[in-house]
Amino acid sequence: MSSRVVLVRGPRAVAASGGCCSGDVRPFDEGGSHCHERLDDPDDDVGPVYRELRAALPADVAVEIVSPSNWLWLVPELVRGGRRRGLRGAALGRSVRAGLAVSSLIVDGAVLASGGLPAPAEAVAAVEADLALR
Amino acid sequence: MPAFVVAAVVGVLFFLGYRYYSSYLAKKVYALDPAYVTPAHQFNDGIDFVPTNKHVVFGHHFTSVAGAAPIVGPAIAVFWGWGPALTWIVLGTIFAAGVHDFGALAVSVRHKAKSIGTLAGEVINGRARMLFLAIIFFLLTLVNAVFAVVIGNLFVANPGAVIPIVVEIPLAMAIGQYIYKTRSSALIPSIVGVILLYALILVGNAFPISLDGLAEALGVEQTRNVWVVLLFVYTWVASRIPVWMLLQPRDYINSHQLFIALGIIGLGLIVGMNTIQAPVLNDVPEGSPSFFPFLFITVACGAVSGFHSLVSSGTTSKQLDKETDGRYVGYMGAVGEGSLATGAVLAATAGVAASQADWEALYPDFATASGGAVGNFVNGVAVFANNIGIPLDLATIFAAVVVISFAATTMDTGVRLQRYVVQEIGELIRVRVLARNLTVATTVAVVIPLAMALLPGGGEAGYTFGVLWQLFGTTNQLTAGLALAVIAVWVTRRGRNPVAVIIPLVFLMIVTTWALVLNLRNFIEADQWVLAPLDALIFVLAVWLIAEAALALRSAFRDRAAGVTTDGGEPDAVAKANPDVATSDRPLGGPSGSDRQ
Repeated sequence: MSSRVVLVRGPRAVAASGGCCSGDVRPFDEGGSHCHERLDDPDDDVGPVYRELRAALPADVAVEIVSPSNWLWLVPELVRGGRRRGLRGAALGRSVRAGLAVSSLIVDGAVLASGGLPAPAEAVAAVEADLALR
Repeated sequence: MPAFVVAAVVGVLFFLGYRYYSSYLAKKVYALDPAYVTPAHQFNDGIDFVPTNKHVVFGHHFTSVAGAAPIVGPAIAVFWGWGPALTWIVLGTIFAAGVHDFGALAVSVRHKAKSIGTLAGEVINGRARMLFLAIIFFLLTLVNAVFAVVIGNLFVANPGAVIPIVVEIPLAMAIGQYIYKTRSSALIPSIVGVILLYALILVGNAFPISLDGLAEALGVEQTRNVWVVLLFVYTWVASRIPVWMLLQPRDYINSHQLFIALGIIGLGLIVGMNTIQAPVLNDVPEGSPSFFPFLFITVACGAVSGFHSLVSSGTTSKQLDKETDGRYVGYMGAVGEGSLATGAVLAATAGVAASQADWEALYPDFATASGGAVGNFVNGVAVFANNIGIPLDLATIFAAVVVISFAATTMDTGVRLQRYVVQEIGELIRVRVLARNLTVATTVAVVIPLAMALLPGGGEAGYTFGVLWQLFGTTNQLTAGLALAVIAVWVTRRGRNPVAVIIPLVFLMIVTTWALVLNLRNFIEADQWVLAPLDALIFVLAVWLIAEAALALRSAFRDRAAGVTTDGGEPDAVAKANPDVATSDRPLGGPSGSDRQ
């Protein structure tokens, strides 16, 4: 794998869980627990950006979608990527904080968007430009 | 024996289970194929179906399955001694939970990431959907009742925990609003939330809240029952508001608490070198429930939990990048749950008592043991936290806050899911008001477990709680049985050795039905005319499940002996995507009669 693009999700209605004995918090006839019907969540703008990126980028570029609660994976990813790009100290801290925001776009540790995603085509252009720089 | 040594031995056994047994399951039983195009790729939409890094999926899966239940069961089960409880946790995790969680994931991945309920309908017949719904209905009823009692007991025993837990609700709502409105990082607000929550422990300790006066004024014998009513009033409201407003931000806070609690248990064990004070095998008083079969349903989520199959096949299977990742995600998720259960056993045997006499005073009979079990876990964890320098009174409230937070979030989710089940049953039986009217459906979802939680019996000793917990365990094991039956038929139809699946399936069915029969006799003898019909109903579901599973398995073996393969019918999207995989997505129950040539 040459590069990794990470999209941090927005708040998702279906993603809540309650520990053991939890479930997919949707009515069953709307896709919860029993079914697997797709549910477009207006608060979660990651889907269209992801699809556009996946279609445009070569297969060896990983595109991951991560929940903002998954800090155990996200923080080391941001720190490693940031350090590889030469970030240190306060700059690295700012980068990590920006990357942890919901609806973020991260390319190999560099945060291209934080707190809101660009339109799909713009996201592809930004990622391709970043990857071409290196 | 030093508790740390026990933890280390269990850790080694879990490692060996993952290294060797899960490898056997992956290669020989579930035959995972790294080239298989998973539903995450096939239906990749960036919304529900997303190929995801296995460590990310593991984080989702583990935090979705770990909670209060693997704490409660083991803390009760040490009544029979720490040996049987720990043995079942270790063997159950390695040979039952791992097989079950991993298997549900593997089968779901091979069938378009459909949930285990849908797959049960396909493998057995249409009645299985109703059976599944009925089991889930009872499971949720008991989950909600049990956790209301757990929280009520903890509030009574730890009045210092009331303020932190109550303030956690507006705190979580504020975090939810902040994240939702500003679209900023969830990490920093939720860490601030955890810090504020723990700071409130100091306030709670200074101003403990007791409802004894209110209970007395209302003429309620047990203060716990006042808490139970208040909790259900709260969950009625909480289940009606959007999940991002309360449930989701509180889950962020809880995910931090899960790792903090595991870290404190581990660190406290190492620093304090506490020794286990409970006997390996307790000489229980005459008339106590026998450890066989009751131990195996008391340790419900710590060893094997049917609800994990819902998570495995509900959301996890939609995110698996490579089929082979299922081994790490599914099996290690079960191991994580077993580790939490092991921590609960050690807290309730090594942390809670300084001598064997102390411990025996806490576990003199089953009623006292079950009523005080969660409190014993809390006090045990408090001792571990005290080992690393946290004052004991604050450490006790900290441990109570952790357990109550887990249980309260489970209750919130449970009542919400119960409402959906009530609505779905309303659709099936064509009762429009149940299906369409949210107020009616939510009220039904609240009133039934509330009635269960307020069942009389046992006074302060908590007899009712012990009974409810066992009924929860049996229902949870039935759900696991249903999932294992689906997995067993699937494995058999593919010509592989199903013994690894059938053994835990048969074992669970034996202990479940045995316990149900013994309980039924006890309830009738004790004139428990609420519990007896409920037990009988669960027994009927168990027998029904056994019959359906046996018929499906017999059919699978017969087809295999006759050389009937699962090939047949038109290949659909997944089969077309996996042209070299003969068994990619054939109907789980094999071809229907009309398909067979």
